[in-house]
Amino acid sequence: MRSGKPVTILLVEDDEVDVKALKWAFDKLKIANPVAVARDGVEALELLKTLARPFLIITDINMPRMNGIEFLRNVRASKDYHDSIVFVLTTSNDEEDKIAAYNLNVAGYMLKSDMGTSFTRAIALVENYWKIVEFPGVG
Amino acid sequence: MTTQRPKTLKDALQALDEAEAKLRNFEDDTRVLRAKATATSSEARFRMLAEGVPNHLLFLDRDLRIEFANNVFLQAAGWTAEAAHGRHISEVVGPERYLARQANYERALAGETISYESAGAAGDDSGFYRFTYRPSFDDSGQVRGIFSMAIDISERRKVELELEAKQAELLRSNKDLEQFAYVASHDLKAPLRAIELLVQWIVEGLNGYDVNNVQENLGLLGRRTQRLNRLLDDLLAYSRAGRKVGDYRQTNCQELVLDVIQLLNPPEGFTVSIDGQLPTLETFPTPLEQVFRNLISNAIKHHPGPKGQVVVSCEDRVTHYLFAVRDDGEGIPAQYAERVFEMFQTLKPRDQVEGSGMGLAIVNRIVQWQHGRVWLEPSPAGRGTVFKFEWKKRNPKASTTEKQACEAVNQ
Repeated sequence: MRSGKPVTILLVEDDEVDVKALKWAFDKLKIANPVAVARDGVEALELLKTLARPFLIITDINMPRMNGIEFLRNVRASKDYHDSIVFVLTTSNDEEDKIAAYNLNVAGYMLKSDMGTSFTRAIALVENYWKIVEFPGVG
Repeated sequence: MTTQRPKTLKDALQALDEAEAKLRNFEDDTRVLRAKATATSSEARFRMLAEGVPNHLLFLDRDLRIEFANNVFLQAAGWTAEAAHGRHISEVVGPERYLARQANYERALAGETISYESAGAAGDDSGFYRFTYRPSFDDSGQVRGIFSMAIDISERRKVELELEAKQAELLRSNKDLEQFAYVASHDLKAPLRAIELLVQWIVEGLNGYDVNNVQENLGLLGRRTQRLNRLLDDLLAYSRAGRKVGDYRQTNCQELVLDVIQLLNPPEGFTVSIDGQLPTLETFPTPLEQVFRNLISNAIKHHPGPKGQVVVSCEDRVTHYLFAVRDDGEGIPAQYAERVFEMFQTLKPRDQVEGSGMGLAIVNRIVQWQHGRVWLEPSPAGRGTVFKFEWKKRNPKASTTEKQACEAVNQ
């Protein structure tokens, strides 16, 4: 059964307006879970070291230094976080990006352009996901 | 022959025998003569054929010594028929090529017909030829030597190489186009989406629906609009890099760089200086100026402190100049050394350091366009980065244009 610990959300997103929009969606849905923000893949890998389980990652693709696909590759190759649950939320409608992301076992690939002017639908989906789905590696 | 009538039957028979023998001898002689005549005419025919073709033609014996060489070959090699006769093929092609082709000669001597293409034939080291070795068999089926023919295919080869170069260029421009499409669908969309969001929030905020900070959102909106504008400008500059080049003329790089520095107007605390004297060369000054402008402004923009030093220098490298732009900024980690030259790549979020990520991509494209390279190295001072790029002393694009002009005049 689920442990009582709340799920931490790791947002990997370089655009401050999108970060704002996501946080606003959390507010609107009255989600009070802890949220950590990394500006690119390099920062996200650093943050992961300090993140308590259970956690869930929402990542953008196009970012400075290390993009989302490279970040995913690093996550899947790592000893400690290879089993992470990762959603992609991006402007990239590129078929190659989608294939690459699903090959790296993402839970879902969402387009920012499909979200209209708010991310509430995406965040509602992710919230439902963590409320219903069992997380790996939680004691 | 006796005309006397035979006196006896015995005499008559003897005379008949003699006549028969003579006839046989005569027939034998005729056969030999006829055979000789055929042989002469087949050799004549072969010679006619050998001299008629515009290609090098040799007959080599089992030891690969020249038994026959046609005039085309003799003229190319600069030998008389006597001088060529008996020479080993290695003397014709040189020891290196002989070694490379030895296996082919051996296979031909073993009875196989061999065809291959290679650079270099007698008297023409740079031309490209198609070689054919065909074994010649004697009556008992043994290989008695090989016919070696070399056809000049330099023209075809030239066209092939040009075609390959064009194809490579096409592939590169296709890749550019793909990258452009990707970039247009992401990097240009991102600020547009942000603008859409911000406008929505402001509207909702004004309606009292949300408590967003309208002032802050308006500020963000302005910055995103500027960013989008800049991305579009830089994308245009990128697509034009190496196309709109302006005049080709004598250019004093010292003056050119001083102008760039003045134009960039470095903020207080920054010094941009020239180490030594920069050369004067014949080139397209506009693209060179853009390279310096992008490198120097990058060094200033990405510098972490309020004070900084940028130094421009140059080394003479015979065929080209090696320019260097050195800064004392925070440096670029080695793993990003190549990525920074790609389109729209930034090392920091644009919200922290406003930049299109196109500056170095433009530099890279310009330098490549004039057949040079650009790369970065950690600064020898232990802090900062050195960008180095090669600039040809004579621009290859200019010389092609000149050559084409000369050809046009000659025609």
